[in-house]
Amino acid sequence: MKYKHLMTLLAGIMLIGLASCQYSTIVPEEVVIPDEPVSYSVDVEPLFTTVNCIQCHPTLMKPDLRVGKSYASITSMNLVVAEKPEESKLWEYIKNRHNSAASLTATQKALIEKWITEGAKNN
Amino acid sequence: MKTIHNSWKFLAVLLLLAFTVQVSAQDDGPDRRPVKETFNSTLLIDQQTNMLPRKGGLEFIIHHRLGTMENGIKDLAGIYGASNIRLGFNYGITERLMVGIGTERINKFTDVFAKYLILQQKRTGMPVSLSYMLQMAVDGGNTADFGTQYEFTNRFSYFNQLIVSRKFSNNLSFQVAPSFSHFNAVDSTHWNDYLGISAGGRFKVYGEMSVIATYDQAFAFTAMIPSSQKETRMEKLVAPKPSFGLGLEIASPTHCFMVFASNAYDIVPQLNMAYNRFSLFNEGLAKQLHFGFNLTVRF
Repeated sequence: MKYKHLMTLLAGIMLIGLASCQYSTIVPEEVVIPDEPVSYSVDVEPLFTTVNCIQCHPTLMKPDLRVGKSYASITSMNLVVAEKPEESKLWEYIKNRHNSAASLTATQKALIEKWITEGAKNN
Repeated sequence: MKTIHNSWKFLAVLLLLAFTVQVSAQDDGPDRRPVKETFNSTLLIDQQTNMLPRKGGLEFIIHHRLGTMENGIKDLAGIYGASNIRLGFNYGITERLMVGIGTERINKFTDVFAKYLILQQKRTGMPVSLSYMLQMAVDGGNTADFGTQYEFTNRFSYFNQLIVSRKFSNNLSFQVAPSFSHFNAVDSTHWNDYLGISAGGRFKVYGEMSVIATYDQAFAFTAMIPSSQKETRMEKLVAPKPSFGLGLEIASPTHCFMVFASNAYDIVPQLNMAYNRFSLFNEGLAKQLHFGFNLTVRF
C-alpha cells in the first residue's frame, strides 16, 4: 500500500490517544465561606481585576468593572437582583463561565453568590 | 394464432434493442470518475465535511462566533459582545488524508485532528462519500477547574465522526454524520460519553454563493455509567441542547467565506455536542443566537 507508513503513524497516534481514555468525575474543591457578611469592596470587587474582567469591561463594553466604578455600573444596569442570585444577570454570566469568569474558583463564585443573597450591598 | 406470433416478434425486437443498448454501454464503460466539490470547504458552519485540502496543500482557518444578539443595536447584535475565536491550520498529507491543528479562545482548547476519505462518491457506482474524523483536544483551563484529584490526562477529550455525504446535483449537497465524543473528566452534571448525529446541507443559489444549514443533536451515552452510580448521575445530568445553523457561503478557488447565525457558541465539536446550553426553544430567541463566520484561506 502506497501510504502504509502514514496509516501506521495515524493508527499509532490513535492508539496512544485511546490508551489515555479515562472515566473521571471532577471532585470540586471544598468551598469555604466565612460566617461573617461578605464585603463587596474587600471580597467581591477585587475579583474582577484578579481574573481580568477589566480587560474588556469597560474598554470594550459596559459594565465598568474597575475598582471604585463597578458597583455603580452593575446596579445602574440592573445586573443584580438583591437576595436573588438566580434572577441576577451577573450570577448568570458567572455560572455560565462567561469569558474571564471561567477563571473564578468555586470559593470565589460562592462569595459572589453569598454577597447577592445578603442583599448586594455596597459595603 | 397470428396475435401470439406478433407478440413473439415484438418481444424479440425488445430483447434485441436491450442487448444493443447493453453492448453500446459496455463499449463506453461506466463513468467512474469521482464526484468533485461536494462542498466548497473542509467546514460547513461547525461541522467537518468530506472535503480535504489537496495533497501538500495548506489551509488557514479563522472561526469567529460573536456574542448573543440579545442587546440588539447596543452592541450591534453581538459584534461588540464577548466573542469566541479559533485559529487553525489544515494540511493535506495525501489526496485522502489530512491533519489539522487549532486553538479556541473559550476554554482554551487546543485540538489536533485527522480526517481520512474512506470512500469517494463516483458518477457511476459509489453513491456517497464516506470519511472518518478523529480529533483529540486538550483543555487549557485552570488546574482548579479539574477539582481536587487533578491529573493531566483529565484535560483530554476526543471526537470521532463518520461523515456520509452525497452531491445530488451541482447545486445540492447533503451530509449525515454520526459521532461519538468522550471527555476524560466531567463534572457531576455531565457524563463522559456522548453520541451525536449531525446533518448539513448546501444549496447553490447564485454562482458560487450557497445557502448552508446544519443541525447537531447529541445525548449522553449513559450505558457506560456503573450501575451503582446510575441513579444519582442520571438525576443530575443536564441534556445538551441541539444546535442549528443557517447561513451563506461564498467560495473562490483560494478562499471560502461563511457567514451564519447559530445557537452554538463553542467551536471544538465535542463541546458543542455535550455542553451547548443555547436553545432555539428557550425564551428569548435573541439570547440564544450568535452571528458567526468562518474564513478559509488556501495556499
